[in-house]
Amino acid sequence: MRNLVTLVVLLTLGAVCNFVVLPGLATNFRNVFAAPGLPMEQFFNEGPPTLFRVFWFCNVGAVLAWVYRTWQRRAASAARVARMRGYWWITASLLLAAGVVCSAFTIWIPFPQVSLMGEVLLLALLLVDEALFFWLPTVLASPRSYRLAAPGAQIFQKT
Amino acid sequence: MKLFAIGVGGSGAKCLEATIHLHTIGLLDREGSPPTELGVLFVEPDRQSALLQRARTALIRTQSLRKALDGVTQRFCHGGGLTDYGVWNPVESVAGQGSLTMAQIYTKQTLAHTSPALGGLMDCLFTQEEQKLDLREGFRGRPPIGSALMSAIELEDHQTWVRFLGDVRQAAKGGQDVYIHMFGSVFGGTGASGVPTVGRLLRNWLKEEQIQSTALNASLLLPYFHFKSHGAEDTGLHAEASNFHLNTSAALQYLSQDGASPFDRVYLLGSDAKVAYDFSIGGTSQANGAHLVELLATLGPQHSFGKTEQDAAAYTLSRDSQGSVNWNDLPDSASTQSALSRGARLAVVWRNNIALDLEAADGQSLRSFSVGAPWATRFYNSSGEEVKTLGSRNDKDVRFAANQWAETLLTWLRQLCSSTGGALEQKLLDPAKLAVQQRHLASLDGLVYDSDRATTGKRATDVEDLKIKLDDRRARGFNPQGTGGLLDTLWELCNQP
Repeated sequence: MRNLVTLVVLLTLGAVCNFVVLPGLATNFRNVFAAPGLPMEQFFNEGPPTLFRVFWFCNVGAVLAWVYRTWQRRAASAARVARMRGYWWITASLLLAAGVVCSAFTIWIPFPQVSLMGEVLLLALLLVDEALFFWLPTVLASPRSYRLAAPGAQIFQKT
Repeated sequence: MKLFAIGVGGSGAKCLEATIHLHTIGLLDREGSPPTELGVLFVEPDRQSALLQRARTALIRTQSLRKALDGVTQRFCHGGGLTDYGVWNPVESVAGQGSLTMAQIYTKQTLAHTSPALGGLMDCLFTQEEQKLDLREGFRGRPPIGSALMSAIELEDHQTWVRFLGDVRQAAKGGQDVYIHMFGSVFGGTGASGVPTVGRLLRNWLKEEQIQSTALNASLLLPYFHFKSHGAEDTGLHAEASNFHLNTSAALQYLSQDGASPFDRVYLLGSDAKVAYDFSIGGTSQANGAHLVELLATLGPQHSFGKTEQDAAAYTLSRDSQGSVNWNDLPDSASTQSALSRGARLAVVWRNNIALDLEAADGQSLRSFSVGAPWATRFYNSSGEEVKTLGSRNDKDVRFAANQWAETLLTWLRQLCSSTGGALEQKLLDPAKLAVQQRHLASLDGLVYDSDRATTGKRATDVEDLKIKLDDRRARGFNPQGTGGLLDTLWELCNQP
C-alpha cells in the first residue's frame, strides 16, 4: 500500500513537473535555444511542452511496466531478483531512446534551427526527467523484494 | 533440568534420533525453565546397525550445528547442551573385539564336564544354533540370549557407564531435576532383553548411591512393524515377526510382576496398523525408516517432566479417526504441532531456499548479492575483509552445519510422515514438501496439514514474504549478525508462517 501511495505521489509530481515546471524552465533559457530563423514564440509554445508531455507518458509507461513485472514475479530466489537489474537497464535505455525519438519528432524535425547547446540542454533535461520519474519511483515504489534491484538504490538503504 | 536418554537396540537408537531432533526444536523444554540438557547413550551389540549409524549421524550433525552456533544465537539452539556418551556394546565389553557366543560366556565345554546337569539345562534352554550364534551381530530377536549376557554385567566396570553415571550423580547431588529415560522395543531381541536388565542395574545403582530424586522412566515399544518377507532357510537365526507378540507378552509379564519393574513410569507405544519393512537380519541392511510410534515414545520424557509419584495415573492414547492420524492425536497436541511445524518450516526454508541463495553467493560481494537479496544487508557487514566475499569463515561453517542438520531433520520428518503403515493415512506434514531439492522453494503452502492455509492465508506462506520479514526484523531493534543470526531470526519467524 505504501508503495502504491509513493508511486501515485511521484507520478503526480511528475505530471506537474512535465506539464508546467520543465516547459517553464526551458523558457528561462531562451538565449541557449536562440538561433537565426527560429520562431521563438512558436518553439516555446509547441516544442519543449510537447516533448515533456510525451516523455511523461513514456515514463509512466516504463514505471508501470516495471511495477507490473515486479509485482507479478515471485521472488523466491535471489538470483531471479538480481536478474531484474538487467531488465531495469533495458527499460531505462529504451526510455532514453524514446526520449531521443520524441526529441526528433518534436524539436529537431519541426525546428531544425535550434542551437546545438539548446539540443544538449533538452537532452540533459530529459535525463533529469528520467532520473526523477523513472529511477526514483523504481527505487522508492518497488516491492520489498526488489527494493535494491534498481541501480543506486543502496543510497536509500535503511540502517 | 537434565535428561539422560538411553536407547537400547535398533528401535532404541531410532527413539534417540527422534529425541535429538525434538531437543533441537525445543520440544523437550519446560515452559518457564531453562532449556533441558540432554545426554544420550546408545546400547547396541551390532556395531554395523544402520539404525545406530543414522542416529549417530543425527547426533554428530546436531552437535556440529550447536558448536557452530555457540554464543551466536539467542533463541535457536541456545543453551540446553547435548552430550554424547557414545555407544556401549555389551558384547564387546565382555569379549573385546573377538567373537562371542553363548557357549563361550557360560563355558559350555567345561560345564559339560564339571556339571553335566547344568550343561544339559543349558541345552534345554538354548538351541545349538543359539549357543553358537556370534553375538557381535546382535541378538537376532532372541531376548533370552541378550538377558543372559547383560545380566552378567557390572555397569561401573565400563568406562562409558562410569562417565554416564558420574554425570547423573553430579547432577542429582547438585540439586538439579534429573530424568533417566530408556527407550527400546520389547518385541525384538536387544531391546526386550536390554531395557529391563539395564533398567534393573540402574535402579540398583540409584539405590546404592542413595539418589532418590532421579526419575527412572522408560518408553517401551510394542509391535508396530512387521517384515515384508521371511528369511531364507540359509539365513541362520533371525528375528521373525511371528515371535514379536510372544516376546512382547513375556516382557510385559515380567514388568507387571510386583516389584519387577525398575521404572517409575512406563510408556507403552504400539500400533494396530503395522508398517511393513524389508526383511533384514541386522547390520547395514536394516534401514527402517523413522515411525510415528517412535515420536510418541519420545514424547514420553516430556510428559514425565515435573510429575511426582502422587501424579500416578494411567493414560491412554487413541486416534480421533480410525483411518488417519492428525495433530489432535498427539499428546499435548498444540505445543507438539507448533514445535514440529516450526522445525519443519525452518529446515525446508533453510535447505531449499536460503542455503541455495547463500551457496550461489559464494565469491560475490555483499553489494552484488544484496541486489537480489536485500535481507542480506541486515545480517552481513560490508566493511573490512568481507567486502569482497559474503560472510566470514565462521559464517561458512555455520552454513555447512545448518545444511547438514536441515537435511537430517528433513529426512527424519519425511520418513516419519511416510511410514504409518497399513491403510492409515497420515495428516501431519506433507512428505512431498519435505524433500531436499536443488531448486528454490517458493511456498510453504500445504507443508503442515490443517494449519498454514487455514490460519494464515496463502500469501503468508510464501517464502518471499518470509524474506521480506527477515529484511524488516533488524530495523525493529533486533541485531543478529552473520549466518547464525540469520538462522536465529528465521527460527523466530518460522513460529508464525
